[in-house]
Amino acid sequence: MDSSKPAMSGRLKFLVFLLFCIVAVIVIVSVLKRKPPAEESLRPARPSPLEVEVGTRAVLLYFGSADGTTLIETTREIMASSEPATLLASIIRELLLGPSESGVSTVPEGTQLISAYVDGRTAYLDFSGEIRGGFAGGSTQEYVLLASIVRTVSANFSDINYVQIMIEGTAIESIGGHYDITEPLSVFDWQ
Amino acid sequence: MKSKGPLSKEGAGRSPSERHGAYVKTGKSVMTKQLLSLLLLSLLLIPASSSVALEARQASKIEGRYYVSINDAAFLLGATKFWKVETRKAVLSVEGKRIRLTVGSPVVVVGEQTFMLTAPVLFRQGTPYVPVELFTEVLPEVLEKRIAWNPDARTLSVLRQGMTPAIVYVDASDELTYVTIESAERIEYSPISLSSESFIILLEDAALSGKLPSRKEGLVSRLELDEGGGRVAVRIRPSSRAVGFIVKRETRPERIIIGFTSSSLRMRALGFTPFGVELPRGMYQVVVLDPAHGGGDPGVRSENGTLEKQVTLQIAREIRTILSRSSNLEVVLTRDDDSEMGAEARATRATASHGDIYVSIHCDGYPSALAHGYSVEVFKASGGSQSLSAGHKGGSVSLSSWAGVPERYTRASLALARSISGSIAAIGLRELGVRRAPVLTLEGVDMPSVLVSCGFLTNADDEAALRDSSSRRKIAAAIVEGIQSFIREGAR
Repeated sequence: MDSSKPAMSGRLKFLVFLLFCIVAVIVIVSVLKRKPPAEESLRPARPSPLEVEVGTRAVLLYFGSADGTTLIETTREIMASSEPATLLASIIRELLLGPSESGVSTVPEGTQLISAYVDGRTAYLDFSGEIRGGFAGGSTQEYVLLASIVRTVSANFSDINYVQIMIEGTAIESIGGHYDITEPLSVFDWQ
Repeated sequence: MKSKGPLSKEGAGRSPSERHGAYVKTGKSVMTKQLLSLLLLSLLLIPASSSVALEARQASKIEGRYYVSINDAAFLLGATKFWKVETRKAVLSVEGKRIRLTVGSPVVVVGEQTFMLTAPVLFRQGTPYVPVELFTEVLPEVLEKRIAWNPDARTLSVLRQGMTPAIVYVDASDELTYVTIESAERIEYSPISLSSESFIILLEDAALSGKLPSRKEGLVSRLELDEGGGRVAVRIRPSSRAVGFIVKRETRPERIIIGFTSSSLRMRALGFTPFGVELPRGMYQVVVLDPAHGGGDPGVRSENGTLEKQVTLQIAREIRTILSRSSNLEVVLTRDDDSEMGAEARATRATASHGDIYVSIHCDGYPSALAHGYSVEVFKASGGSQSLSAGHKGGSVSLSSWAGVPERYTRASLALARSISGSIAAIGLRELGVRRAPVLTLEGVDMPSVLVSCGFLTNADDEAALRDSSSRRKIAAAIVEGIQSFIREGAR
């Protein structure tokens, strides 16, 4: 009985080593492949030394016109990503920064995008409470706000047909009380 | 209009590498996030029919019968649960009584009394499952707490204080079909829609109990009962043979009776209201005006402190004055004081007043002071309605009683909108056109309806006009002209 013990622990050590090797290989391969994450958090993670520049791409953003009757198209350069959800989040965050030249931001100050994800033909955008709490406009502001988000999504993602707006993880009835956004908004309606 | 530097609102003070750093994440938290979002998604996608209120629990069908887990049973009863693995006995302690259950046995002992269920307690996934029968047959005899079983939704729900259990049944004869809602206490109800395509009555502070009636009987082609948030929506699709209806109340016992008849003779004799009678020209009788916002919801506030809720009420009253003077139309206001009202309450008030035309009065507001002018809106359902019919609103379960109500009047509503828009333009005001969107306040309105935005309180000229009573009178007169020309056109 006693003599079998060291043999067992030797085998165990080998197994642990093997496991360590497998894990190490997986980690190295995944780092080399640099598959971008599907989701991202608001909190910036510590920049990795292995992080390589992946380039930028031009995206279309839509802001309200000064008289509230149309949307103003703007192009911006943002970090490129092959992952739709990550790209979507970057685009919406860029939209939240507001216009740099002409156009009006209709999104209440302080609004953050918590997360974005894509499921089939529907994009889900989860905003912080400010989008509703800070809203003080009329139906035109609310309309332009929804239209600018929906149009921005549809202009950059041709295969997305619906946009579901949520607040802190929940589908809500309305942002300012004028429009029902419980259901996903059709990109064909909000132009 | 190219890229913004990192020194924009959000990125201020952060270096570019920090900004890029935001896209780096560890695998584990990505997984967790993905799982969370999947969970979130699955929650969102639960169809309305299987939506479960917070105080309700879904039953599972096992071997042809409905069961709930012992954990759900304890939750519903607010009971303390004891589970003895060795003896396979579970004890629920509630209201000072002990409910003893044994896996594999149909015998239930409550305090000193013994009851026999028609099915045994089962053991599934490491948990005892009790037949729903325990809640419907046994516990009502021994406990104060009331749990209602809804076989349609397969849910057990706690009857909240003040909620009245209601039994719904259908009686059908040759030419008459009655849907009766019977309860021990009086139940308040609101008619949401009373048309031959969709007949909806909303019961307040009520919960379904007892056996549910068949979905199809006599002149009722489809009967649906939806429960949520302490309310029950009774949705009926009357048969195409039905020519008239009645909704009446009886006392002792408390009953709300909804009747349908296929006979015109009976209809007149019994005082039923005929269905589907399109109001002929000049038959519009009641105009409902809805002054937007109110109470704690001021709407848009101008720099001078002018509040949308005040202006909308002033304009609505002005319209009422002019209409009452110039026509024999009856005018109803959804609110005639500074009270706060939800969209649903406004729509219910309109339906209950037998309104024929609904005009919601708003003012507008925009971040830029340059925006000015008037616009009219008509309801159009969200494009996503077909893909998602979840009844979740604000995290709780709500009744989608309004589905499809305003669309029936789209043609008439558009005609009304164009008419009002035209008369506003005719007095020289800047008209921004007719917009179609899922307007929340028009959602449950069972008549041709529009939302009129009377200028921007965020624009100096519009605001000055809205503060001036003679300007307001002109705006009101233009809206009245729009309503009257719509009625003259007779479009419906």
